[in-house]
Amino acid sequence: VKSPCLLGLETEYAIFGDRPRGNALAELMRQAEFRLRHATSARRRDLFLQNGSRLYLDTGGHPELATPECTSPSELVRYVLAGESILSELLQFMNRSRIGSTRLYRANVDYSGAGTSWGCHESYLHRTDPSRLPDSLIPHLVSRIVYAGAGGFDPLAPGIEFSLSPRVAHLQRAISTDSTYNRGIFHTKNEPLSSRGEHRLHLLCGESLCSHLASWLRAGTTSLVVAMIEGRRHPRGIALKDPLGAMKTFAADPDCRREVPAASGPPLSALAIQRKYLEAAEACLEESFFPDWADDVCREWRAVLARLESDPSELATSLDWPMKRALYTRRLELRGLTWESISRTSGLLSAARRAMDPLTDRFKAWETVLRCQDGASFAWQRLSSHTRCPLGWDELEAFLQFRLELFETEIRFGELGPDGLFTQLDLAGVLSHSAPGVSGVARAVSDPPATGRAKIRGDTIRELGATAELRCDWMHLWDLTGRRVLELSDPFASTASWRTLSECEWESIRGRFDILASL
Amino acid sequence: MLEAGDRAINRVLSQDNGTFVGTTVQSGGQ
Repeated sequence: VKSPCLLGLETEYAIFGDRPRGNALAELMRQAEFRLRHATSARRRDLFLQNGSRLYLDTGGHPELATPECTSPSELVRYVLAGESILSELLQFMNRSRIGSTRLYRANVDYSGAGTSWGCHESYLHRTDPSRLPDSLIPHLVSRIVYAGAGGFDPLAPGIEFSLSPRVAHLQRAISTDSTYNRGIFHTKNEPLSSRGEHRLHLLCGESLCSHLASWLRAGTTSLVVAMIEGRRHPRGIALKDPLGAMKTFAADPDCRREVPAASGPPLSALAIQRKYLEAAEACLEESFFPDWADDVCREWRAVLARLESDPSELATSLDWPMKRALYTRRLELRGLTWESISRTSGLLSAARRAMDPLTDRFKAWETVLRCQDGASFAWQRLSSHTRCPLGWDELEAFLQFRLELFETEIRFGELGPDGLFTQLDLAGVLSHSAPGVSGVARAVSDPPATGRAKIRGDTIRELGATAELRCDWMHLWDLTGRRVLELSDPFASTASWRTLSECEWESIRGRFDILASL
Repeated sequence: MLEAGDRAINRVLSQDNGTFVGTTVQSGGQ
Protein backbone atom coordinates (compact mmCIF):
# COMPACT_ATOMS: atom_id res chain seq x y z
CA VAL A 1 0.00 0.00 0.00
CA LYS A 2 1.40 3.38 -1.04
CA SER A 3 1.68 6.26 1.39
CA PRO A 4 -0.91 9.03 1.08
CA CYS A 5 0.38 12.51 0.33
CA LEU A 6 -1.27 15.76 1.25
CA LEU A 7 -0.33 19.10 -0.19
CA GLY A 8 -1.78 22.55 -0.74
CA LEU A 9 -1.01 25.96 -2.20
CA GLU A 10 -1.86 29.50 -1.06
CA THR A 11 -1.59 32.21 -3.70
CA GLU A 12 -1.62 35.95 -3.08
CA TYR A 13 -2.92 37.94 -6.07
CA ALA A 14 -1.95 41.52 -6.83
CA ILE A 15 -4.92 43.79 -7.40
CA PHE A 16 -5.02 46.93 -9.52
CA GLY A 17 -7.77 49.12 -10.84
CA ASP A 18 -9.11 52.59 -11.25
CA ARG A 19 -11.05 52.53 -8.01
CA PRO A 20 -9.43 52.72 -4.55
CA ARG A 21 -7.90 49.40 -3.58
CA GLY A 22 -9.92 49.12 -0.38
CA ASN A 23 -13.16 49.57 -2.33
CA ALA A 24 -12.08 47.02 -4.95
CA LEU A 25 -11.21 44.45 -2.30
CA ALA A 26 -14.48 45.01 -0.45
CA GLU A 27 -16.45 44.70 -3.68
CA LEU A 28 -14.61 41.50 -4.65
CA MET A 29 -15.51 39.87 -1.34
CA ARG A 30 -19.06 41.22 -1.48
CA GLN A 31 -19.47 39.54 -4.87
CA ALA A 32 -17.97 36.33 -3.46
CA GLU A 33 -20.32 36.32 -0.45
CA PHE A 34 -23.30 36.97 -2.72
CA ARG A 35 -22.48 34.53 -5.52
CA LEU A 36 -20.60 31.62 -3.92
CA ARG A 37 -22.00 29.08 -1.50
CA HIS A 38 -19.73 29.32 1.52
CA ALA A 39 -19.09 29.07 5.24
CA THR A 40 -17.47 32.04 6.92
CA SER A 41 -14.52 31.85 9.28
CA ALA A 42 -14.05 33.79 12.51
CA ARG A 43 -12.54 36.66 10.50
CA ARG A 44 -14.34 39.11 8.25
CA ARG A 45 -14.00 38.58 4.52
CA ASP A 46 -12.78 35.03 4.92
CA LEU A 47 -14.76 32.28 3.17
CA PHE A 48 -14.51 28.54 2.85
CA LEU A 49 -16.09 27.49 -0.45
CA GLN A 50 -18.04 24.43 -1.53
CA ASN A 51 -15.05 23.07 -3.44
CA GLY A 52 -13.16 22.91 -0.14
CA SER A 53 -10.92 25.92 -0.80
CA ARG A 54 -10.61 29.19 1.08
CA LEU A 55 -10.88 32.73 -0.33
CA TYR A 56 -9.96 35.62 1.93
CA LEU A 57 -8.38 39.03 2.26
CA ASP A 58 -4.95 38.62 3.73
CA THR A 59 -2.69 40.90 5.74
CA GLY A 60 -1.34 43.55 3.41
CA GLY A 61 -4.59 43.95 1.51
CA HIS A 62 -4.70 41.38 -1.26
CA PRO A 63 -7.04 38.53 -2.12
CA GLU A 64 -5.65 35.11 -1.36
CA LEU A 65 -6.81 31.67 -2.43
CA ALA A 66 -5.86 28.50 -0.60
CA THR A 67 -6.55 25.22 -2.35
CA PRO A 68 -8.26 22.44 -0.44
CA GLU A 69 -6.04 19.65 0.86
CA CYS A 70 -4.97 17.73 -2.26
CA THR A 71 -3.51 14.25 -2.65
CA SER A 72 -1.54 14.67 -5.88
CA PRO A 73 0.13 17.41 -7.94
CA SER A 74 -2.57 16.98 -10.62
CA GLU A 75 -5.28 17.64 -8.07
CA LEU A 76 -3.36 20.63 -6.73
CA VAL A 77 -3.03 22.27 -10.15
CA ARG A 78 -6.71 21.51 -10.87
CA TYR A 79 -7.78 23.43 -7.74
CA VAL A 80 -5.42 26.34 -8.40
CA LEU A 81 -7.02 26.68 -11.84
CA ALA A 82 -10.51 26.29 -10.40
CA GLY A 83 -9.74 29.06 -7.92
CA GLU A 84 -8.49 31.35 -10.66
CA SER A 85 -11.60 30.61 -12.67
CA ILE A 86 -13.71 31.64 -9.66
CA LEU A 87 -11.73 34.88 -9.27
CA SER A 88 -11.99 35.68 -12.99
CA GLU A 89 -15.75 35.27 -12.89
CA LEU A 90 -16.05 37.49 -9.81
CA LEU A 91 -14.01 40.14 -11.63
CA GLN A 92 -16.37 39.98 -14.59
CA PHE A 93 -19.33 40.67 -12.32
CA MET A 94 -17.45 43.51 -10.61
CA ASN A 95 -16.40 45.14 -13.84
CA ARG A 96 -19.92 45.02 -15.29
CA SER A 97 -20.97 47.65 -12.77
CA ARG A 98 -19.03 50.35 -14.70
CA ILE A 99 -17.99 51.92 -11.40
CA GLY A 100 -14.45 51.08 -12.39
CA SER A 101 -12.24 48.37 -13.73
CA THR A 102 -10.31 45.97 -11.50
CA ARG A 103 -7.64 43.46 -12.50
CA LEU A 104 -5.91 40.64 -10.66
CA TYR A 105 -2.43 39.36 -11.40
CA ARG A 106 -0.36 36.33 -10.63
CA ALA A 107 2.49 38.64 -9.65
CA ASN A 108 5.48 37.71 -7.54
CA VAL A 109 7.27 41.05 -7.20
CA ASP A 110 6.46 44.67 -7.90
CA TYR A 111 8.60 46.84 -10.17
CA SER A 112 7.87 50.17 -8.54
CA GLY A 113 10.79 50.08 -6.16
CA ALA A 114 8.46 49.64 -3.17
CA GLY A 115 9.91 46.21 -2.52
CA THR A 116 6.60 44.34 -2.49
CA SER A 117 6.46 40.63 -3.08
CA TRP A 118 3.31 38.51 -3.36
CA GLY A 119 3.64 35.07 -1.86
CA CYS A 120 2.83 31.65 -3.21
CA HIS A 121 3.13 29.32 -0.25
CA GLU A 122 3.31 25.55 -0.51
CA SER A 123 2.28 23.11 2.20
CA TYR A 124 3.34 19.46 2.46
CA LEU A 125 2.22 17.14 5.25
CA HIS A 126 5.03 14.90 6.52
CA ARG A 127 6.10 12.73 9.42
CA THR A 128 9.79 13.67 9.63
CA ASP A 129 11.46 15.37 12.56
CA PRO A 130 11.30 18.98 11.25
CA SER A 131 14.90 19.62 12.29
CA ARG A 132 16.02 17.06 9.68
CA LEU A 133 14.44 18.93 6.79
CA PRO A 134 16.53 22.05 6.07
CA ASP A 135 19.87 20.39 5.22
CA SER A 136 18.24 17.77 3.01
CA LEU A 137 15.66 20.00 1.35
CA ILE A 138 17.42 23.33 0.78
CA PRO A 139 19.57 22.12 -2.17
CA HIS A 140 16.32 21.11 -3.90
CA LEU A 141 14.62 24.45 -3.20
CA VAL A 142 17.67 26.34 -4.43
CA SER A 143 17.99 24.39 -7.70
CA ARG A 144 14.35 23.63 -8.65
CA ILE A 145 13.99 27.17 -10.01
CA VAL A 146 15.45 25.88 -13.30
CA TYR A 147 11.95 24.52 -14.00
CA ALA A 148 9.82 26.12 -11.26
CA GLY A 149 10.97 29.74 -11.57
CA ALA A 150 8.32 32.23 -12.68
CA GLY A 151 10.81 34.26 -14.71
CA GLY A 152 10.94 38.05 -14.85
CA PHE A 153 13.39 40.69 -13.77
CA ASP A 154 15.44 41.38 -10.68
CA PRO A 155 13.12 43.92 -9.00
CA LEU A 156 15.93 45.50 -7.00
CA ALA A 157 18.29 46.12 -9.91
CA PRO A 158 18.41 49.62 -11.41
CA GLY A 159 18.72 48.25 -14.96
CA ILE A 160 17.21 45.27 -16.73
CA GLU A 161 18.40 41.95 -15.34
CA PHE A 162 16.51 38.82 -16.29
CA SER A 163 15.88 36.41 -13.44
CA LEU A 164 14.66 32.84 -13.50
CA SER A 165 12.99 33.56 -10.18
CA PRO A 166 12.41 37.24 -9.25
CA ARG A 167 11.29 36.43 -5.71
CA VAL A 168 14.84 35.28 -4.95
CA ALA A 169 15.74 38.99 -4.71
CA HIS A 170 13.50 39.17 -1.62
CA LEU A 171 15.04 36.19 0.17
CA GLN A 172 17.56 37.17 2.77
CA ARG A 173 18.68 34.03 4.49
CA ALA A 174 18.74 30.25 4.20
CA ILE A 175 16.38 29.61 7.12
CA SER A 176 13.80 31.96 8.62
CA THR A 177 11.01 32.00 11.14
CA ASP A 178 9.39 35.03 9.51
CA SER A 179 7.26 35.16 6.37
CA THR A 180 7.08 38.88 5.69
CA TYR A 181 10.57 40.13 6.62
CA ASN A 182 13.94 38.42 6.49
CA ARG A 183 12.40 35.70 4.36
CA GLY A 184 14.33 32.48 4.10
CA ILE A 185 14.65 29.73 1.51
CA PHE A 186 13.38 27.40 4.22
CA HIS A 187 10.61 28.56 6.52
CA THR A 188 10.40 26.95 9.95
CA LYS A 189 6.64 27.45 10.43
CA ASN A 190 5.08 24.19 11.53
CA GLU A 191 1.37 24.53 12.09
CA PRO A 192 0.29 20.94 11.39
CA LEU A 193 -3.51 21.44 11.16
CA SER A 194 -3.70 17.75 11.95
CA SER A 195 -4.32 15.75 15.11
CA ARG A 196 -2.52 12.65 13.81
CA GLY A 197 0.99 13.73 14.76
CA GLU A 198 2.13 14.87 11.32
CA HIS A 199 3.93 18.13 10.60
CA ARG A 200 3.27 20.64 7.87
CA LEU A 201 6.18 21.92 5.83
CA HIS A 202 5.37 25.49 4.78
CA LEU A 203 7.47 26.94 1.96
CA LEU A 204 7.49 30.58 0.94
CA CYS A 205 10.33 30.69 -1.57
CA GLY A 206 8.13 29.61 -4.50
CA GLU A 207 6.27 31.74 -7.01
CA SER A 208 2.91 32.00 -8.66
CA LEU A 209 3.17 30.18 -12.00
CA CYS A 210 1.17 30.14 -15.23
CA SER A 211 2.48 26.94 -16.82
CA HIS A 212 0.53 23.92 -15.62
CA LEU A 213 3.58 21.73 -16.18
CA ALA A 214 5.83 23.97 -14.06
CA SER A 215 3.30 24.10 -11.24
CA TRP A 216 2.73 20.35 -11.39
CA LEU A 217 6.45 19.55 -11.46
CA ARG A 218 7.22 21.82 -8.53
CA ALA A 219 4.54 20.17 -6.39
CA GLY A 220 5.40 16.65 -7.56
CA THR A 221 9.17 16.82 -7.18
CA THR A 222 9.02 18.60 -3.83
CA SER A 223 6.53 16.00 -2.51
CA LEU A 224 8.90 13.23 -3.57
CA VAL A 225 11.91 14.93 -1.98
CA VAL A 226 9.96 15.30 1.28
CA ALA A 227 8.97 11.60 1.08
CA MET A 228 12.62 10.60 0.45
CA ILE A 229 13.75 12.56 3.49
CA GLU A 230 11.04 10.83 5.51
CA GLY A 231 12.24 7.45 4.22
CA ARG A 232 15.91 8.45 4.77
CA ARG A 233 16.62 7.84 1.09
CA HIS A 234 17.42 11.41 0.00
CA PRO A 235 20.69 12.06 -1.86
CA ARG A 236 23.81 12.89 0.16
CA GLY A 237 26.79 15.08 -0.70
CA ILE A 238 24.87 17.99 -2.24
CA ALA A 239 24.91 20.45 0.66
CA LEU A 240 25.87 23.92 -0.52
CA LYS A 241 28.43 26.22 1.06
CA ASP A 242 26.22 29.29 0.62
CA PRO A 243 22.62 28.32 -0.27
CA LEU A 244 21.31 31.85 -0.69
CA GLY A 245 24.29 32.90 -2.82
CA ALA A 246 23.81 29.74 -4.89
CA MET A 247 20.13 30.51 -5.46
CA LYS A 248 20.96 34.03 -6.61
CA THR A 249 23.62 32.64 -8.97
CA PHE A 250 21.20 30.09 -10.45
CA ALA A 251 18.46 32.72 -10.77
CA ALA A 252 20.75 34.92 -12.86
CA ASP A 253 21.81 32.13 -15.24
CA PRO A 254 19.35 31.39 -18.08
CA ASP A 255 21.87 29.00 -19.60
CA CYS A 256 21.64 26.81 -16.45
CA ARG A 257 25.36 26.12 -16.58
CA ARG A 258 26.89 27.99 -13.65
CA GLU A 259 28.33 26.04 -10.74
CA VAL A 260 28.43 27.01 -7.08
CA PRO A 261 30.63 25.77 -4.24
CA ALA A 262 29.44 22.68 -2.39
CA ALA A 263 29.90 22.35 1.37
CA SER A 264 32.40 19.63 0.49
CA GLY A 265 33.47 18.19 -2.84
CA PRO A 266 33.42 19.67 -6.33
CA PRO A 267 31.18 22.61 -7.31
CA LEU A 268 27.62 21.85 -8.42
CA SER A 269 25.27 23.23 -11.07
CA ALA A 270 21.52 23.45 -10.48
CA LEU A 271 21.00 20.70 -13.03
CA ALA A 272 23.56 18.45 -11.34
CA ILE A 273 21.76 18.86 -8.00
CA GLN A 274 18.41 18.12 -9.61
CA ARG A 275 19.89 15.03 -11.29
CA LYS A 276 20.97 13.72 -7.89
CA TYR A 277 17.47 14.14 -6.48
CA LEU A 278 15.89 12.58 -9.57
CA GLU A 279 18.18 9.53 -9.47
CA ALA A 280 17.47 9.04 -5.78
CA ALA A 281 13.73 9.31 -6.46
CA GLU A 282 13.87 6.80 -9.31
CA ALA A 283 15.53 4.34 -6.91
CA CYS A 284 12.53 4.68 -4.56
CA LEU A 285 9.69 4.07 -7.03
CA GLU A 286 8.75 0.72 -5.49
CA GLU A 287 8.95 1.95 -1.92
CA SER A 288 5.75 2.19 0.13
CA PHE A 289 6.60 5.73 1.24
CA PHE A 290 6.27 6.91 -2.37
CA PRO A 291 2.84 7.85 -3.79
CA ASP A 292 1.40 6.01 -6.78
CA TRP A 293 1.90 9.04 -9.06
CA ALA A 294 5.69 9.11 -8.46
CA ASP A 295 6.34 7.33 -11.80
CA ASP A 296 4.65 10.13 -13.75
CA VAL A 297 6.58 12.81 -11.90
CA CYS A 298 9.96 11.11 -12.40
CA ARG A 299 9.28 10.65 -16.12
CA GLU A 300 8.44 14.34 -16.67
CA TRP A 301 11.23 15.45 -14.32
CA ARG A 302 13.78 13.47 -16.33
CA ALA A 303 12.46 14.81 -19.66
CA VAL A 304 12.56 18.44 -18.50
CA LEU A 305 16.10 18.16 -17.08
CA ALA A 306 17.28 16.60 -20.35
CA ARG A 307 15.87 19.51 -22.34
CA LEU A 308 17.35 22.06 -19.95
CA GLU A 309 20.74 20.37 -20.35
CA SER A 310 20.40 20.37 -24.11
CA ASP A 311 19.04 23.92 -24.57
CA PRO A 312 16.66 25.69 -22.15
CA SER A 313 15.03 27.52 -25.07
CA GLU A 314 13.51 24.17 -26.07
CA LEU A 315 11.10 24.76 -23.18
CA ALA A 316 9.97 28.17 -24.44
CA THR A 317 6.39 26.96 -24.88
CA SER A 318 6.29 24.80 -21.76
CA LEU A 319 7.69 26.53 -18.67
CA ASP A 320 7.23 30.05 -17.34
CA TRP A 321 10.72 31.47 -17.35
CA PRO A 322 11.78 30.08 -20.75
CA MET A 323 8.52 31.50 -22.22
CA LYS A 324 9.32 34.93 -20.86
CA ARG A 325 12.96 34.71 -21.85
CA ALA A 326 11.93 33.99 -25.46
CA LEU A 327 9.35 36.80 -25.56
CA TYR A 328 11.70 39.37 -24.02
CA THR A 329 14.60 38.33 -26.25
CA ARG A 330 12.30 39.06 -29.17
CA ARG A 331 11.47 42.53 -27.75
CA LEU A 332 15.18 43.24 -27.47
CA GLU A 333 15.85 42.11 -31.03
CA LEU A 334 13.09 44.34 -32.38
CA ARG A 335 15.02 47.28 -30.89
CA GLY A 336 18.40 46.10 -32.13
CA LEU A 337 19.46 45.16 -28.61
CA THR A 338 20.94 42.01 -27.09
CA TRP A 339 21.07 40.70 -23.53
CA GLU A 340 24.80 41.50 -23.58
CA SER A 341 24.26 45.15 -24.51
CA ILE A 342 21.46 45.42 -21.94
CA SER A 343 23.75 43.89 -19.35
CA ARG A 344 26.47 46.47 -20.02
CA THR A 345 24.00 49.34 -19.60
CA SER A 346 22.59 47.76 -16.44
CA GLY A 347 26.12 47.47 -15.08
CA LEU A 348 26.69 51.17 -15.71
CA LEU A 349 23.47 52.04 -13.94
CA SER A 350 24.46 49.93 -10.96
CA ALA A 351 27.79 51.74 -10.78
CA ALA A 352 26.04 55.11 -11.04
CA ARG A 353 23.61 54.19 -8.32
CA ARG A 354 26.43 53.17 -6.02
CA ALA A 355 28.19 56.45 -6.72
CA MET A 356 25.06 58.46 -6.11
CA ASP A 357 24.11 56.95 -2.81
CA PRO A 358 27.09 55.17 -1.32
CA LEU A 359 25.72 55.18 2.20
CA THR A 360 22.36 53.56 1.65
CA ASP A 361 22.36 52.36 -1.97
CA ARG A 362 18.61 52.61 -1.87
CA PHE A 363 16.61 51.99 -5.00
CA LYS A 364 14.03 54.59 -4.00
CA ALA A 365 16.56 57.42 -3.99
CA TRP A 366 17.75 56.40 -7.44
CA GLU A 367 14.23 56.36 -8.82
CA THR A 368 13.52 59.76 -7.35
CA VAL A 369 16.36 61.35 -9.29
CA LEU A 370 15.40 59.71 -12.56
CA ARG A 371 11.77 60.69 -12.26
CA CYS A 372 12.58 64.30 -11.53
CA GLN A 373 12.57 65.19 -15.23
CA ASP A 374 14.02 68.70 -14.98
CA GLY A 375 16.97 67.72 -12.90
CA ALA A 376 17.47 64.22 -14.22
CA SER A 377 19.53 65.14 -17.28
CA PHE A 378 21.82 67.34 -15.23
CA ALA A 379 22.07 64.73 -12.48
CA TRP A 380 22.93 62.07 -15.02
CA GLN A 381 25.67 64.23 -16.57
CA ARG A 382 27.24 64.71 -13.16
CA LEU A 383 26.96 61.04 -12.32
CA SER A 384 28.22 59.78 -15.67
CA SER A 385 31.17 62.13 -15.44
CA HIS A 386 31.88 60.87 -11.94
CA THR A 387 31.59 57.21 -12.91
CA ARG A 388 33.10 57.65 -16.40
CA CYS A 389 29.94 56.20 -17.88
CA PRO A 390 29.83 56.45 -21.69
CA LEU A 391 26.03 56.38 -21.80
CA GLY A 392 24.42 59.64 -22.94
CA TRP A 393 21.23 61.06 -21.48
CA ASP A 394 19.15 60.31 -24.62
CA GLU A 395 20.28 56.69 -24.63
CA LEU A 396 19.54 56.42 -20.93
CA GLU A 397 16.06 57.84 -21.37
CA ALA A 398 15.30 55.35 -24.18
CA PHE A 399 16.68 52.53 -22.06
CA LEU A 400 14.52 53.46 -19.09
CA GLN A 401 11.43 53.72 -21.28
CA PHE A 402 12.14 50.25 -22.65
CA ARG A 403 12.63 49.04 -19.10
CA LEU A 404 9.14 50.29 -18.21
CA GLU A 405 7.74 48.55 -21.27
CA LEU A 406 9.31 45.24 -20.24
CA PHE A 407 8.03 45.57 -16.67
CA GLU A 408 4.57 46.25 -18.03
CA THR A 409 4.75 43.16 -20.21
CA GLU A 410 5.97 41.17 -17.24
CA ILE A 411 3.08 42.17 -14.96
CA ARG A 412 0.50 41.69 -17.70
CA PHE A 413 1.84 38.21 -18.49
CA GLY A 414 0.15 36.76 -15.41
CA GLU A 415 -3.07 38.77 -15.50
CA LEU A 416 -6.16 36.67 -14.76
CA GLY A 417 -8.87 36.60 -17.42
CA PRO A 418 -8.79 36.91 -21.20
CA ASP A 419 -6.52 39.97 -21.32
CA GLY A 420 -3.56 38.22 -19.67
CA LEU A 421 -0.64 37.62 -22.04
CA PHE A 422 -0.21 34.00 -20.95
CA THR A 423 -3.94 33.39 -21.44
CA GLN A 424 -3.84 34.98 -24.88
CA LEU A 425 -0.93 32.77 -25.93
CA ASP A 426 -2.66 29.71 -24.52
CA LEU A 427 -5.89 30.51 -26.34
CA ALA A 428 -3.90 31.03 -29.54
CA GLY A 429 -2.74 27.41 -29.21
CA VAL A 430 0.97 28.19 -29.34
CA LEU A 431 1.87 26.74 -25.92
CA SER A 432 2.43 23.13 -24.85
CA HIS A 433 2.40 23.33 -21.07
CA SER A 434 -0.20 20.74 -20.10
CA ALA A 435 0.57 18.42 -17.19
CA PRO A 436 -0.49 14.79 -16.70
CA GLY A 437 -3.91 14.35 -15.12
CA VAL A 438 -4.83 18.03 -14.93
CA SER A 439 -8.43 17.97 -16.16
CA GLY A 440 -11.90 18.49 -14.72
CA VAL A 441 -11.22 22.11 -13.78
CA ALA A 442 -14.81 23.21 -14.47
CA ARG A 443 -16.11 20.54 -12.11
CA ALA A 444 -13.56 21.54 -9.45
CA VAL A 445 -15.06 25.03 -9.35
CA SER A 446 -17.98 23.56 -7.42
CA ASP A 447 -16.88 20.07 -6.32
CA PRO A 448 -14.31 19.30 -3.62
CA PRO A 449 -11.52 16.70 -3.99
CA ALA A 450 -12.72 13.10 -3.90
CA THR A 451 -11.24 12.19 -0.51
CA GLY A 452 -10.33 13.44 2.95
CA ARG A 453 -11.70 16.24 5.07
CA ALA A 454 -11.66 18.57 2.05
CA LYS A 455 -14.48 16.45 0.59
CA ILE A 456 -16.43 16.47 3.86
CA ARG A 457 -15.97 20.24 4.21
CA GLY A 458 -17.00 20.96 0.62
CA ASP A 459 -19.96 18.55 0.57
CA THR A 460 -21.28 19.97 3.84
CA ILE A 461 -21.01 23.56 2.66
CA ARG A 462 -22.81 22.64 -0.56
CA GLU A 463 -25.53 20.78 1.31
CA LEU A 464 -26.13 23.23 4.16
CA GLY A 465 -24.56 26.50 3.06
CA ALA A 466 -27.84 27.95 1.80
CA THR A 467 -29.98 27.01 4.78
CA ALA A 468 -27.78 26.85 7.88
CA GLU A 469 -25.46 29.33 9.57
CA LEU A 470 -22.04 27.72 9.07
CA ARG A 471 -18.65 28.70 10.47
CA CYS A 472 -15.43 27.03 9.46
CA ASP A 473 -11.70 26.71 9.92
CA TRP A 474 -9.34 24.10 8.50
CA MET A 475 -10.07 21.62 11.32
CA HIS A 476 -13.75 22.29 12.18
CA LEU A 477 -17.08 23.09 10.65
CA TRP A 478 -19.76 24.46 12.98
CA ASP A 479 -23.46 24.41 12.19
CA LEU A 480 -24.73 27.21 14.39
CA THR A 481 -28.33 26.61 13.35
CA GLY A 482 -28.20 22.98 14.48
CA ARG A 483 -25.78 23.68 17.40
CA ARG A 484 -23.39 20.96 16.28
CA VAL A 485 -19.81 20.59 15.04
CA LEU A 486 -17.89 18.47 12.55
CA GLU A 487 -14.42 17.66 13.89
CA LEU A 488 -12.05 17.67 10.91
CA SER A 489 -8.71 17.49 12.68
CA ASP A 490 -7.87 14.30 10.76
CA PRO A 491 -7.01 15.50 7.22
CA PHE A 492 -7.67 11.98 5.89
CA ALA A 493 -11.12 11.68 7.52
CA SER A 494 -13.56 9.78 5.34
CA THR A 495 -16.88 10.15 7.15
CA ALA A 496 -18.71 13.16 8.50
CA SER A 497 -19.51 12.71 12.19
CA TRP A 498 -21.55 15.52 13.68
CA ARG A 499 -21.37 16.09 17.42
CA THR A 500 -23.89 18.16 19.34
CA LEU A 501 -22.33 21.11 21.12
CA SER A 502 -22.61 21.13 24.89
CA GLU A 503 -24.06 24.25 26.48
CA CYS A 504 -20.56 25.30 27.53
CA GLU A 505 -19.16 24.81 24.00
CA TRP A 506 -22.09 26.65 22.52
CA GLU A 507 -21.45 29.69 24.71
CA SER A 508 -17.80 29.59 23.76
CA ILE A 509 -18.56 29.32 20.06
CA ARG A 510 -21.11 32.10 20.28
CA GLY A 511 -18.49 34.33 21.82
CA ARG A 512 -15.89 33.35 19.30
CA PHE A 513 -17.97 34.15 16.31
CA ASP A 514 -19.76 37.06 17.85
CA ILE A 515 -23.07 35.81 16.58
CA LEU A 516 -26.35 37.53 17.20
CA ALA A 517 -28.23 36.61 20.35
CA SER A 518 -31.22 35.63 18.26
CA LEU A 519 -29.34 32.67 16.86
CA MET B 1 4.81 31.50 -30.34
CA LEU B 2 6.95 34.59 -30.87
CA GLU B 3 4.66 36.10 -33.50
CA ALA B 4 1.62 35.48 -31.32
CA GLY B 5 3.56 36.96 -28.40
CA ASP B 6 4.40 40.09 -30.38
CA ARG B 7 0.79 40.61 -31.32
CA ALA B 8 -0.43 40.09 -27.77
CA ILE B 9 2.23 42.34 -26.23
CA ASN B 10 1.61 45.12 -28.75
CA ARG B 11 -2.10 44.90 -28.07
CA VAL B 12 -1.56 45.13 -24.30
CA LEU B 13 0.89 48.01 -24.55
CA SER B 14 -1.39 49.98 -26.86
CA GLN B 15 -4.33 49.45 -24.47
CA ASP B 16 -2.33 50.98 -21.67
CA ASN B 17 -1.96 54.28 -23.47
CA GLY B 18 1.35 54.93 -21.81
CA THR B 19 0.00 54.43 -18.30
CA PHE B 20 1.94 51.39 -17.28
CA VAL B 21 0.48 49.17 -14.62
CA GLY B 22 3.81 47.40 -14.28
CA THR B 23 5.40 50.07 -12.15
CA THR B 24 2.31 51.09 -10.23
CA VAL B 25 1.09 47.74 -8.90
CA GLN B 26 2.94 47.73 -5.63
CA SER B 27 0.89 47.57 -2.50
CA GLY B 28 -0.94 44.65 -1.07
CA GLY B 29 1.70 41.97 -1.14
CA GLN B 30 3.65 40.48 1.70
